[in-house]
Parts: sequence; C-alpha cells; structure tokens
Amino acid sequence: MRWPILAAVVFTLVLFQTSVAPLFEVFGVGPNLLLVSLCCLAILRDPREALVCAPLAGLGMGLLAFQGVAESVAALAPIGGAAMFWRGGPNRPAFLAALLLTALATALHFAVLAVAVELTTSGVNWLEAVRDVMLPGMAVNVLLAIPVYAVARSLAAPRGERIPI
Amino acid sequence: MRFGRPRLVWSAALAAFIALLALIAWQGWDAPVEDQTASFFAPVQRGLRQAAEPLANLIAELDDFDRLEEENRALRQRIEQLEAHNARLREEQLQVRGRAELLEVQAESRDLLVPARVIIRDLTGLRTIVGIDRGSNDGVAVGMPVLATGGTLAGIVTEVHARISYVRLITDPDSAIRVLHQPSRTESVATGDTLGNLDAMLPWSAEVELGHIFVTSGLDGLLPQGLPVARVSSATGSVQEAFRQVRLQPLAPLEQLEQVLVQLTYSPPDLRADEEDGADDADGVPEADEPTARSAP
Repeated sequence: MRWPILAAVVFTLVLFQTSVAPLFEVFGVGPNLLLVSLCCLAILRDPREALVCAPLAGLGMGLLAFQGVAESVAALAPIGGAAMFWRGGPNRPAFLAALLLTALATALHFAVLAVAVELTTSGVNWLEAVRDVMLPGMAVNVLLAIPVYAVARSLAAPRGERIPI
Repeated sequence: MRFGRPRLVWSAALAAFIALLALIAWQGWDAPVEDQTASFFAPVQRGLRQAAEPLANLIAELDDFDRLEEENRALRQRIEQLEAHNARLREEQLQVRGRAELLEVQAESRDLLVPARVIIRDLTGLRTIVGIDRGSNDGVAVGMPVLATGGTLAGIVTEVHARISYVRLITDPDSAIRVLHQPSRTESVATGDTLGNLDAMLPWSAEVELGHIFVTSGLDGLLPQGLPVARVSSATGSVQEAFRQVRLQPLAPLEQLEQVLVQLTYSPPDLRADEEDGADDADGVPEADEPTARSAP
C-alpha cells in the first residue's frame, strides 16, 4: 500500500514543483521542494523508497517541466545513490546528513542539467551559472530542508525500523 | 565501505534506464508523450499556480516592504504635488473666466469700469464689507457703485485709500438702497439684513411675484438708475397691513465675490459740499481740511 501512496506523494510534489515553486523565488531562484523532500526521504525512510522515488520524480519532471526526461532522471538519481550508502543510527546526525545531502544533491542536479544544456546548446557561462543559480539554489534548498525535515521526520518510521540494503 | 551487489544492480539499471531515455529523446519519440502529459496536466498546474499566486505576491511584497514603503511615500508626495498643481490650474482657469466676464461687461457698458479683485472679506459674519485692490490711485472714490461680474449691483465704495478701497455690499445691515420694482415701477428702499438678503416694503397695489426684479431707482442720486439689484424671493403680509414685506435675494453672487468692477464714471452728488458751498458763499473760500473721502451713502 505504501508504494501507491509514495507515488501519489511524488506526483503531487512534481505538480507542485512545476507550477507553484517558481512563484516563491528567494535569492532569485525558486526552491526545489521535490529535491529537498527526496533528500529527507533518503535519510529518514527505507532507502528502497528513495531508490524508486528519485527516478520516478525525474521522469515526472522530465514530462511536465520540458527539461528532458533523461536529464531529469539523471539529475535526481544521485539522491537514490546517497540513500543506499546512508546508515541511520543513534549516533548518526541524520539532520545534518539531510542538510548536507540537500546541498550536494542541489549541486549535482545543477551540474547534470548544466552539462545537458552545454551539450545541446551553444554553451553555458559556468561562472555566472554557478554564482547566480547553483549557490543561491543550494542556500534556498538547505533552508527549506529544515522545515521539510521536521515534517518528514514526524511522518517517517523510527530510525530503528529502517531496512538496510 | 563495500559496494554491494544490490547497489551495483541498481546503479547499472539506472544507468541503462537513463541511456534508454536519452535514446528515446534523441530519436524524438518522447515528444508525443511529453505533449500529451503536459496538456493533460496543464489545467491542474494552472489552477495550482493561480491558487498560490496571492500568497506568493504577499510574500514578495513582504520581502520588498521597504522599497514599497518608499515608493508609496514618493507616490503620495507626487499625488499631493499634482493635486496642488491641479488646484492652481483650476484657480487660474476660474480667474481667467472671471476676467473674461468682467471684460465682457466692461465692453458692453458705456461707463468706465475698472476691474478689481476682492482681497479682504469681513469674517465676523455681522457685516458684509469687502476690500478691493483698487484705491484712489486708480481713480476710485467714495460712493462709486461696485458691480459684480454680471453687471449687477454688488455694493458701494465707502472708504478709499491709495491702493485699496472698502465696499459695503448691498446686503450689509447698514446698507439702504432706493430700488424700483421693475414690473410695477413702484419705488422702495431695500435694506440689508444679516442673513445675506434685502428687505423692502411695497404697497399692496404693486403686484409682486417671485422672481420679479428690482433695479436701482436713481431717485436719490446716490446710484445710477437701472442697475439690477435683486429678485423677489418671498413676500409676506396681510391685506390689513399698509405694506407688503418683500424679501429680496441679491442678483450678484455676493458670497462668492472674487472680482468686481468699479464704475468710475459715476460719482454721486456731494450734497454736503453743496451745503458747505452755501455756508461758504459768504467768504467763497473752501475749507482747508476738507476730507478727500466723502461719507458713505
């Protein structure tokens, strides 16, 4: 039963991300609630969920945001990879890990999409792109991760119930 | 950390999936699916966007509060400036219109009329005396009739200085003017009251109706004959009384009087001077300290 619910949540997040999120620009960039939610999911819940949800979310973004299905999946896929390596436990700072993963996933997401743009267009001004898009995006997503983590934690199963791969 | 088999499988599967998607995109096979999906969900996305827009705008405005406040202040200041400018323009327009009316009356009249602006107004509410910006330097003298822009009688000059003069309006409680009921040619005296009207007594033989016009009779020689003064606003009294009490409303807009015309060519006869002439006939020498301003009518 949890998979259909997860799919519905991901789908809702994709819709939200492609319609509402661009309206709430901070530092000149819109927050990526989908990416942040996937990061928190990867840290707090069963890693298999992240492994499935990250490509699913990429597929949705590719179809609804016109940014290329392959690029979208590739941009979000590292979150699933991170979930495979993360091991929860009483001494593991999950909150900091979620923030770190968010920052890292944002940078990778940006890098993958920028490379795709570099390959398919006349090129990207990397310096300006990093300064104006990636760094503000990281800051915004990390800030957004704080409340999202709190919500996700209240909804997630206790740490001990994580199912290791 | 050991890179386990499941991870390897997942990574390989994901890479293959991405490669497949890239191939599909490269071949352009994904376009119809993208179009269908996007068009199917477009209404939902639009609805979500419209629902979130007010909140987004509010947050954007909060974020930009200082700039908005500054802009608001600047706009208020601009509005105030424009309102002041607009009021000035309107005022100039009214002044020009008033001048044009005065010039029209001036052109129609054979008399020499000098335009003057009302610069002082009695604020006690007990008198209706105004000051005008013309004085003896302009040829104004005591007793000269002062007309409103329409050529109706407004008052009489009672005091003259070099540059300004004072005019007692016809509604002043001390004002008494010999008038003629135009339709019946009945003569009467119209006196001012404190309410901005004139009162006159007319015999019952005169058929008085609302709106009838009274003009100056000129019988006392203090005012030229035929100047429009007032119209009948009410008439009271019973047949047992000898006279009918008639209330008159001035034709001149005395409450809004801003510009007037002084009729320079009319100067009332100086009855006191005649008397003094009679008294001085013995020596034939005029009084040295004779005042230049004559007494008010």
